[in-house]
Formats: sequence, C-alpha cells, structure tokens
Amino acid sequence: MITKTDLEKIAKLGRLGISSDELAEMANEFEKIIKYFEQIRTLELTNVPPMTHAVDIILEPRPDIIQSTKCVTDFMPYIKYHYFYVPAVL
Amino acid sequence: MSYQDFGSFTIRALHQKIKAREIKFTDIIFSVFEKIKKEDEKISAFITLFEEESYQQAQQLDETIKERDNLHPLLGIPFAIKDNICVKGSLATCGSKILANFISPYDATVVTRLKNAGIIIIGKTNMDEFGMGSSTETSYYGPVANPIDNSCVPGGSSGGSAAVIAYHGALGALGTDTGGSVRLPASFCGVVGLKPTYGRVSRYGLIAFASSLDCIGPITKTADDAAIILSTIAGHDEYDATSVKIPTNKPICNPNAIKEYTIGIPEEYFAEGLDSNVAHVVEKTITELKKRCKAVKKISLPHTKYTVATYYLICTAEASSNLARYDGVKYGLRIMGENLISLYEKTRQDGFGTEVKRRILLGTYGLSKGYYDEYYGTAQKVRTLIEQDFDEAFKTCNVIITPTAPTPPFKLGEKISDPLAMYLSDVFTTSPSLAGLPAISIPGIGLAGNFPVGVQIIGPAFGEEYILNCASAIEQINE
Repeated sequence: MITKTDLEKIAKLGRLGISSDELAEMANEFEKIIKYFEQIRTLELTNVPPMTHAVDIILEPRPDIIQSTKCVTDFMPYIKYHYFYVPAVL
Repeated sequence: MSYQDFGSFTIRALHQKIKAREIKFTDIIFSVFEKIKKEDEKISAFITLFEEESYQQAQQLDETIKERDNLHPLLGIPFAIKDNICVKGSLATCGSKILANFISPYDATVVTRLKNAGIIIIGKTNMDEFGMGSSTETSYYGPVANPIDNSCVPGGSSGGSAAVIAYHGALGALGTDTGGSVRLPASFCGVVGLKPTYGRVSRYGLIAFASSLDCIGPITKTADDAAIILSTIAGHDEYDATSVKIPTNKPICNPNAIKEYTIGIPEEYFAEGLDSNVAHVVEKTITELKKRCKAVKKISLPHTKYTVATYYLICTAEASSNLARYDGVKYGLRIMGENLISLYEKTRQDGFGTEVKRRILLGTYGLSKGYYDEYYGTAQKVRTLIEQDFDEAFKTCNVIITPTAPTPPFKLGEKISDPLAMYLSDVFTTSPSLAGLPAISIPGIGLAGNFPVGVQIIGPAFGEEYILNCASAIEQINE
C-alpha cells in the first residue's frame, strides 16, 4: 500500500513540489500502476543478464577542438562579461 | 479551392514536378499555409509556425532553381518538426511550460541533414509534454484533435506531426518514438510512421525522455516518402555515441521483394482486448499478403504480456533522471524560492504537467533504495527476455506483422484521467522499442468505422529495408 506520506517522500527525492490535492489524486492511480508493474516479479530471472541498451556502445573520443561559443551565449537569458548569471545557491 | 493543393502530393510526386520545373516553390508554400490556416484552428497541430521564413526560403529557391542540378528529393519540401527536436534560433518547448521560452542554440543532427537536403521547415509541431502520452492531450499548449474526426485523439506523443501530414499541411514530418510515439499517431491519423532501429539515426539535438529507447523517425503519406527521409537523416554522428556506423540503404521500396519473405504472426498480439474491427483489418491485410509472399507462419513472442510493465518501469526511471536538469537554474522556467531546494521544487511544480510529475514519481520510486532491484533491475532483465523472443522469431521469418494499436482512436478526454488505461494503448508498440528494432505503421486494408487501421511491421535490427518493402506491398494492394 502506497500512502500519501510515501508519495510526499518520493516527491522530495525527485525535488518535485506537489500540492496536497495533486498528491491525493495521484495516490490511488499510483497504487494501481505499481500493482500492474509487479507482474514482472513473478518471472524466474536467475541467470538472466540485465539489458541496459539496445546497441553495444563503443565510446570513441573525438578531437578536443574549441568551437565558437557564440551560439550558446546568443541564447542565454542572463549573461554579462562572458559569464552566465545563475541564482545564488548558498 | 482556388489554388492547387500541393499538400496532398507525396514527396516523390512533388519532387517530379520540381525536377521538371513545373511549379514554383512559393506556390507550394502558399498552398500549405492556406491549408494550415483553414485546418489548424480546430486541430492545433503546430506550436510555432515559420510562415515568413518559409516564403523567404521559397523565393530564394525560385530564383536559383535554374542554376541547380542533381536536385535532392527533399529540396523545397514543406516539412514539420516535432517540438522536442532542436532547430537553431527557434523555440523548442517539448510541449511543456518549463521550456516555454527555451530557444535552441543549435540544430539537431537530423535537422542539419534535412536542411542540407533543402527542406523548408514550416513549423514545430504539438506533442505530449516531453513525449509522455499516447494521445497528445498532455501538451501545455492544449490537445491536438484527430483530422479524421475532431472529437477523437490523434494518438501520441507525435500527434501534431501525424495530424499535419493527415490534413496535408506538410509533406514530411519528424516525430520521435520512445514506446510507439511515431507509430501510434500514424495509425490513428491514417498515415505512415517509421521508427528506425535504435542507433540508426542520431539523437543529438533531441531533448531526452528515455535515452535507451528514444528514436527519431519520419511521418509521411507513403513508405517510399519515409524511405527518402530515413536515408537522409540516418548514419553515424560523432555527437551521438549510440549512433552506429552501418551504411544506410538507398531510398527505394520494392513491393515485389516480399515474394521471398516469410511473415511471422505472433499469436499473443491477437488475444483478448483487441478490438474486433481492428482485428478484421489486420487479418484481411495478412490474407492479401499471403497471396504475394513466400509464407505466413504463426510465431510466439511469449513475454509480450510483460512489455507494458517493463517499458514503463524503464522509461520512467530514465525520465526521472533526464528531467532532473530542469531545475530553474540553467535554463527554462525559474520560480524563485526561499532557498535552493525550494527554487527547484517550485519551478518543477509550476513547470511540469500532471503526467510528467506522475512519471518522475514512478521513476524515482523504481530507482529508490530498497526498490531498485525489485523494479528497475527486474525490468532490465525482462527486457533481455523480450529481446531474446525476437531473436528467436527472426530465425524463422523476415518480418513480423501485428496491429499497431489495440483500438481505433478514442474520444478526447476518454482516458486522460485513467493513466493505466492510457499506458495500455502502447501494448503492441513497446516490445520493438525495448528490443531496439525497426517498426513501421501503415494503413491496413479496410476501415474500422471511419478510421483507417494501422498495421505494424517489425523487422530485425537494421532491417528497415524489409519493413519498407512489406509496407509498400500493402500500399500497392490498397491502391
């Protein structure tokens, strides 16, 4: 059983503000969905390897060449003297 | 209609006229914008339109066409791009409030390749927020209506791209497909939607939803048009490590090639829950193909019943991680709070819609301590079994045919408050996505009420040629 308090905790972990009304509305559906998900736990999966990706990825580094940053700076909303302005975090 | 409806042409047919210098590019643009002005008020397929820029580009083409030779089949073709794909200098909202003012600083690789071929981008299309939906009802910019019956959904999440092709507002469109988001709207709107093999097309410049599943694919009127677009956008890209170095086929569909094909029909896809009208169309299509192919045989994909659960566990986990970047600090919406955590929470509360919040919660839950192995880890293992099912099936057949969706288009609002019912709309499209396989939705033979019914053709990895040939055989029968 997933309670409203459980959902509040998950929302905190996901840095998601969520109103009490939204949580109440979501709790019931959330429970139904998780129950539906649980059917996969009935399968015997010993010795089955996990699949993380559909293709084998070979990470090939590319030459580290400095390119124009103009395309980025053109669209930044807060920029001065080549610095990005962001809110204070402390 | 006092003008020629160029939007009703296929790309191939319009290209023939362009090559013969029979038409002006400005007339083509006039024609599609007339159509958009007439239709889009009730359909809402577009978030952004580039009317002035389209005319400017068309005028330049009119002025220079005489000097050009070796014209690319996409030169001057009016094109719509889903709004989660970056086009430099224009909005890329992803259908979300949180990116309502986000202007892309660069072109996605697919956009660069299409621009090099000469397309005219006429607009960015409406979509479910961040691609999270099967009906194109979760967009911050409002729902999209189905052009065949405006009271019904167009399917999602690329509903805007499919709708605009269906109402002839563009000749080609790009959608994105994570678990069926190109194929499902193609099915509901009576057009063609191709999800390429994972890795065939670069994802650079596609705003991520679930990175191990996301694919960019064309939506068109015909399989031949889809092949033209695929051959233009496919190929390795040094900016996407998951794009593969496998040569791309020539854009030619050969319907006669199916003479050599064995078609597999998975029994699990014709079970309880499949609408009888949909079943009838798919069965009729298979009966017709049987007269033209080498053999039709029953096959089994035994883990089909676990695909929706597996898909939603994996995609929500990846989404919760991918969407962590929308924190109000670097770009997008920012709602100030008393402290940093409060800034994050308020921004995400105000910027995301209900379905996105639900999926972030589901993904966070599935990845959290104590549940990771039970949910996400288990889903990854079941994904292996689903892939193995296909590996086994393709030992005995060349393509697999299924319905694209279990039902015809449903009414707007019918499933929006029942998320599990909505997720089950993806029951037939999620398994090829999990296995990374190419799949196409094409209108089958016959109708379900007023609606065309999409038939899904699934191919082996990098076997787009097989599914395009088979799709063009169905088109030939339909003609």
